[in-house]
Amino acid sequence: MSSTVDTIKHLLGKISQSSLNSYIWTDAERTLAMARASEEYTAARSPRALEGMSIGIKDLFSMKGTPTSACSKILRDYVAPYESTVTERLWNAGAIFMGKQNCDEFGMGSANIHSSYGPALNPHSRNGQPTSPGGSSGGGAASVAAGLNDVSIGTDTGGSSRQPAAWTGIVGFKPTYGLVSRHGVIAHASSLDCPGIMARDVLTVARVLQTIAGYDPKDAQTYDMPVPDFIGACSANLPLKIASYNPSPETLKLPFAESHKVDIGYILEHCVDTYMDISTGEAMSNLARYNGIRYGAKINNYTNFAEYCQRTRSENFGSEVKRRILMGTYVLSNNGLLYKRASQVRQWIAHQMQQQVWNHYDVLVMPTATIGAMTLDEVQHAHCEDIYQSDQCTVMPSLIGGVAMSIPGGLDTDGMPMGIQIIGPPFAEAKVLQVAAHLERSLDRMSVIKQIKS
Amino acid sequence: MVKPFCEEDLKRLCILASLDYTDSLKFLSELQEINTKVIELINSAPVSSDYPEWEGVQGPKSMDGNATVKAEDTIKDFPHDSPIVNRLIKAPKTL
Repeated sequence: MSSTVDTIKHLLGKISQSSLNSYIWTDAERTLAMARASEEYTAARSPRALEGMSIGIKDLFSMKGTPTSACSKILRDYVAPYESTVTERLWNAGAIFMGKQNCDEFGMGSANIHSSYGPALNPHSRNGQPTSPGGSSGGGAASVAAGLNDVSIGTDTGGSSRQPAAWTGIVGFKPTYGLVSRHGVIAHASSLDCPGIMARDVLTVARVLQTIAGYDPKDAQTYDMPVPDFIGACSANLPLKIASYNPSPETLKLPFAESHKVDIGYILEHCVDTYMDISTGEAMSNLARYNGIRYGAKINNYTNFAEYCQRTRSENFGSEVKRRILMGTYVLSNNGLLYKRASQVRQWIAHQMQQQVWNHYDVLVMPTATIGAMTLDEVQHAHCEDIYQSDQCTVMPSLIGGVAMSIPGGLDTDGMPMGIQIIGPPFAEAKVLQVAAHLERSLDRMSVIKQIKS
Repeated sequence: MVKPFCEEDLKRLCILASLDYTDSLKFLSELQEINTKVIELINSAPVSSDYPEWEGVQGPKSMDGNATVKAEDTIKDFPHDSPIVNRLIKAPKTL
């Protein structure tokens, strides 16, 4: 049986040889020191909750003394002076830091092509072409799928952990908004941002969630309440009612559940535009701080202060970030009329979901994405509006602040992974984990994919 | 009523957003397209203008959604391995 240090050395070797561009920063010395410390805990027969688990971290998480750039040129020299709550809890539980992982700049994107480090690649290739792992947490998803680490910690603002999980054939999880602290996570859209978890199976996600969930006085949005037994939920057998929106209920036969089809199409059709209004408005506000004074790269040879700020931002933000800042500025202009209307529609979406689904069912099952992974060529030439619309299955749970998990749902006609999504209202993690763990084993996944594609 | 997006809007937005106007011109047609669509949809929103705004995630009144798993409710020796994932992970890497 190999030791933790041997295993970690092996993984570091795989990372250094990988052509996926999924890791952007590693520190082998630090990683091996953590592995040696982990071995001591194990030898003393007092292992911690995540002892020896290898974890990669999305470059949006601040880690003390560690480069943290949000994969943006504007933060290229930034070294975080403090530790995020999520990473602090992981290291205290014995997890081993493998490195910082590639993502779309500031978490804005669905294909990991908007990174100053270049695109990450999917280990599963469509027809032999370089293929996107999805985004924005594409580097983390690709790493888990390729076996470079056990778990990747991403973020999930509108599906950024679930969609890459679906495209790479792994499990991706978004907790209830406020269940896991955002302290130390570089902000994208503050009313939607959640840390996300990606792993190869549901139980591992539950183990990590058990460690990182819970009240944090440094994040006012977290809830002061006991953390439930998420690990036990994975083997629970409680009677549940499942709503299904494509795939059909017949494909979701579980011994403890009854399934019924629901029609929520009229709700989903408002979700992407509502999400774009809200997320760009909040992103514009959050990114105002990167002006080369308090934060951000600095430029030389300027004639006045306005030019200094404009050039600093224009020369160091990527195109997708600039596009969203402009959209967000527009949304917040006119006294915020568009943002206010989007906020009203968001409340309507939550109300409709409550009335149509949550008042009658425990969880909802639907596809994670309507298509499998796209090639890099396809995503680079796609219209940005089409890319935004590709998030149509993942943004609804984000807008209502609920819980959602993508599990592998089979393969498409090219043999590329597809995901199915289990969604619950806020604080329904246990029910979502129960259904996901059972579906993970019992589903006839190929038949589910036929349902999704038909 | 919100007016459609135009070039003058872009100039104004660049000042507000501290972004270079010339550099931002490349986004004009996309922004016009997206904003026209967004405005159309927002104007045809399914709610009236006096509908309440997003109230945020409401904290749980109880832990019913999460804390109902007791030892007797779990399946002993529930196998947690996942055949489909194992197949995908072991699939030959084509890159």
